[in-house]
Amino acid sequence: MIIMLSHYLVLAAILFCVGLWGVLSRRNAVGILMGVELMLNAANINFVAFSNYITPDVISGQIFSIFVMAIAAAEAAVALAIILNIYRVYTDIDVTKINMMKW
Amino acid sequence: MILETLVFYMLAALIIFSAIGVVTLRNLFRCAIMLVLVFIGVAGLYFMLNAPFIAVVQILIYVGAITVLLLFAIMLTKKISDNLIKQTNEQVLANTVIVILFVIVLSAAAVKFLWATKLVSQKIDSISMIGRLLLTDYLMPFEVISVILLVALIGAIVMAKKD
Repeated sequence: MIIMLSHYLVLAAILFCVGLWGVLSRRNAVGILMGVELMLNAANINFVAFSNYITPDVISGQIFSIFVMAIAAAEAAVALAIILNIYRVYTDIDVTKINMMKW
Repeated sequence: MILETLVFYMLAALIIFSAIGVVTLRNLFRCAIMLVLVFIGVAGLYFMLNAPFIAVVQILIYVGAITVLLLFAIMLTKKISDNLIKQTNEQVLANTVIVILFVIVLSAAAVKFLWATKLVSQKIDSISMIGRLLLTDYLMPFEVISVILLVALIGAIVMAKKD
């Protein structure tokens, strides 16, 4: 049995949905950030798989995955700074309790 | 061919089980370690997909930088890796149902669709091609992404420093 494009797509779909579950269900802000990282990785798998199977001569999918990684690094740095600030104010990072700006 | 299949399924099992560990374990420190396993498995997939540069960048940025950043945040915020604190919110059941339905829809779409795949003609030198593309066709996005990284860096420092 040969590995096709759909194998990678199904694996990326599962990884994306596990990350989505983490984002939706976690109380902890750092746990939510980990879920986001999983989802970004799933998107990256899709980019590189499409690049390898559909346009093997033009590797623009790999370039896009480099951009996604740079965005993920920037997002992680800013989000962790925000989490540290929230922790200073609330001494807690449970997102269900952080409702000061909800209404 | 049989070896490729075997390696793919082993990497897939590693990725999926570690990812489930990342979202379900109670101790956040262990979650971060599981996240490293996911990233290494994904890097292995990139090697299989003829993208060695992306695989090495994945290990450098995700395993080297982002995980260390996450570990710093975990250690700087107390009380979050306590086993007694409930880790999930009230919507777990609904989330699980929705996510399972979503994965079924996505997988069905990916399997049913006839992708216009091409055979990989010959080994291309992807690293030199990436370098050439980044400095010709994708020069503008490349510069913009460096400015975004710089802005994010400065913003993170400004927000995280004490007043």
